[in-house]
Formats: sequence, structure tokens, C-alpha cells
Amino acid sequence: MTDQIRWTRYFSLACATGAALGILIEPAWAHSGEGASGGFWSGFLHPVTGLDHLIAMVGVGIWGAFLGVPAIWLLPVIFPLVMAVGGVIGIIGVPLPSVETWIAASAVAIGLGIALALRPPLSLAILIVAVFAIFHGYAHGAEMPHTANPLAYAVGFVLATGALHLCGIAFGLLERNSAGRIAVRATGGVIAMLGVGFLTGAL
Amino acid sequence: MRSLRFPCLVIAALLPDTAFAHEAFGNLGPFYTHMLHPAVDPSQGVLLVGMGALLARQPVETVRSAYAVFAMASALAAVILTVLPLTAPGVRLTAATAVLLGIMTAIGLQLPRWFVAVLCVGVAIIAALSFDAAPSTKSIQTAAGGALGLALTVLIVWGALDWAGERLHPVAAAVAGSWIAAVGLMVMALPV
Repeated sequence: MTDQIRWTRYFSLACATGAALGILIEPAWAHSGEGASGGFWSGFLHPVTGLDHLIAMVGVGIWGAFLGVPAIWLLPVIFPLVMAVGGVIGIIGVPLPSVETWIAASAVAIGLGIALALRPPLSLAILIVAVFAIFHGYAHGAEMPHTANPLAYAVGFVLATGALHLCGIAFGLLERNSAGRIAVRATGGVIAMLGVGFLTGAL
Repeated sequence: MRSLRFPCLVIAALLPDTAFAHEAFGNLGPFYTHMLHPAVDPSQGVLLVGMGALLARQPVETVRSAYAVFAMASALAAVILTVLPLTAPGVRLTAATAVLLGIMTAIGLQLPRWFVAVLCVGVAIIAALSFDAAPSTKSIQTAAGGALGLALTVLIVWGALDWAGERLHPVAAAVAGSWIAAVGLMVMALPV
């Protein structure tokens, strides 16, 4: 086993352990935490606690891993950059139509892409992800000017977004064996169904 | 079963609820306050992480000289700040610098040594100016803590990304660069 594969496995295990502990542990915040940390945690928790954002971000990572090189590293680099453009549009207050619908649609599209093992040309995959990134960024950016510490908020939500992508990539790498491929494609189906739930207002 | 003892111990230690009732650090004094400042000031932290990420995309020969320049510039700026109470840079300057560092890191350009050195000096000055410039009776501790904090943060980020690039995937620093640029881009758009 090469070093890279070994460390990738450790990384996947660390992601899974982190996610499990994140679910199990419920810290008691004696005070509001506003100020130095309030902005950061608000930003960090926004993509993590919003299920529509969470499934789309993880989905992008899984799809990137599913598409292989170079998408596996291009999508997680491009998504935050384009998302920031969406964030800027939200911050300066330019209205975008049906933001929540687009966010739900992103989960459906990316989920279907994984479930049906679609492998579009790289440029098309980038375009799809970039369009959806605009709307995810917009949803975060519109809230930013109202936070206690916008810079900390931005750092928090970009970190959370990136971490979700990495978790998705780590999980998506399971598709290299047959059992893992089934698990990954089934997850894609779950993401798409949840997206449909958000799209129809059932969730 | 013996091999499971340590993971079980770690999980048991982490499971109880944590009460964050008071300030995390309290008053640590000027040395540690300035040394840990990058961890609690996002504007300074973003710049230093951006600098470390940029260095992680450069050849190690470039990093050797550039890091020495950065450490010296940080020390000099931290010392000057104890005698000249200069004002902190505007958030847009910090954000624009973060965007520049982030995009260059994401693209992965191999930059000339002199250019990386100039960037190091610029980032060290902007980062040092982010310290609280209030006069202190313990100026040596303030300067030493500040310089060490800047130099250590960049070193740790460079080391972590260099390690991740080698062990996980060479693109690790590029991903970090895109995160830095994204943060900077949004902060630049914020109303001042």
C-alpha cells in the first residue's frame, strides 16, 4: 500500500470519526459567544446545520471524486471561488430569483449525477457546479452584513463548505471498489430525493 | 481488545458536555497574547494562512529564502510597532491582499524568488499592523510574542499544507488558496 493511499484512508477515517463525534457531542454554551467567536460559529454552522446546503456541498465532493482526475481537485477549488462571487452579489444586495429553489435543484442535479453515474464533459460539470455555487454563496452572503463579525463569519462558512467538500471527496473515493460504488450511488439517490423534498416543500 | 483502549478513552473524554462559561485564555500577558493573536484575529489569521499556503506552492529553495525574509520583516515590524503606534490597515486592504495570495496559490504559479520575498515583506507589515498598537510597559515581550506568533503561524500552515500535498494530494494548497480568495472576495464587498 502506498503512503498516499494509506494517508487517504486515515483521512477518510478522520472525517468519519469527526462527523460521528459532531453528532454525538452537544456542547453547553454558557454564554452567547458573540464577539470574537460569534461570527465564526454562525458562519461555520450555517452550511452544516442547513440540510439543503449540507447535502449539496457533500454531493459536490462526492461527484468530484466520482468524476476522477482532474474534477476531483478542480471542483473543490472552483466552487468556493464562484460561491464567493454569489456571496458578493448577496452582500451588495442585487436580488436573485428563487434562491431556495436553485439550492434545492442543485441537490437534485448533483444527486442524480452521482446516482446515475453521469460523467459529463469536465467543462459542463464545472458549469453546473458553478451555477449552483452562485446561489449557495448568495444565500450566505445576504446574511453576512448583519452578522457581528462579517470577516469571521466568512472564514467560518468557507471553512465549513470546504470541509463538507472534503468529507464528500473522502466518501466518494469509496467508489473504487464494487461495494463502495453501490454505497456512493445510493447516497447520490438519497441526496436527489432530499433535494426533491426541498423542491416540493415536503422538507 | 487492548488496541481499542485508547480510542475508547478518547471518545469517553470527548463525550461529556463542555461548559464554555468563561473566556478561553484570560489575561495571558503581552507575550502570549501577541503570540496567539493570529488565532483570534480573523483578518490577521487569513493573511498569514494565505502566506503559508502560497509558500506551500513554491519550490523549497524559494521557501527557504522567503521564509527567512518573512521572519525578519515580522520581527522588525513588531519592534517598530512598539515605538511607533501605527494604525491598523483597513479591512479592504487586508481582504485585497488575501484575494491576491489566494488566487496565486490556487493557480499555482511558480513565482520569482524576489517577488515572493517582496510579498513576504508586505504581508509581514500588514499582519504586524493588525496588532493592538497600544503602548505597553513590556515592549520586549510584546514585540517578541508578536514576531514569534507571525513566524510560527506561517511556518505551521506551510508545514501542514506541504505535508498534506505530499501525503494526500498535491492540490491541498490550491484548495486552501481558493478558500482564502473566497473569504477575501466577500470581505472586500462588505460595506465599511
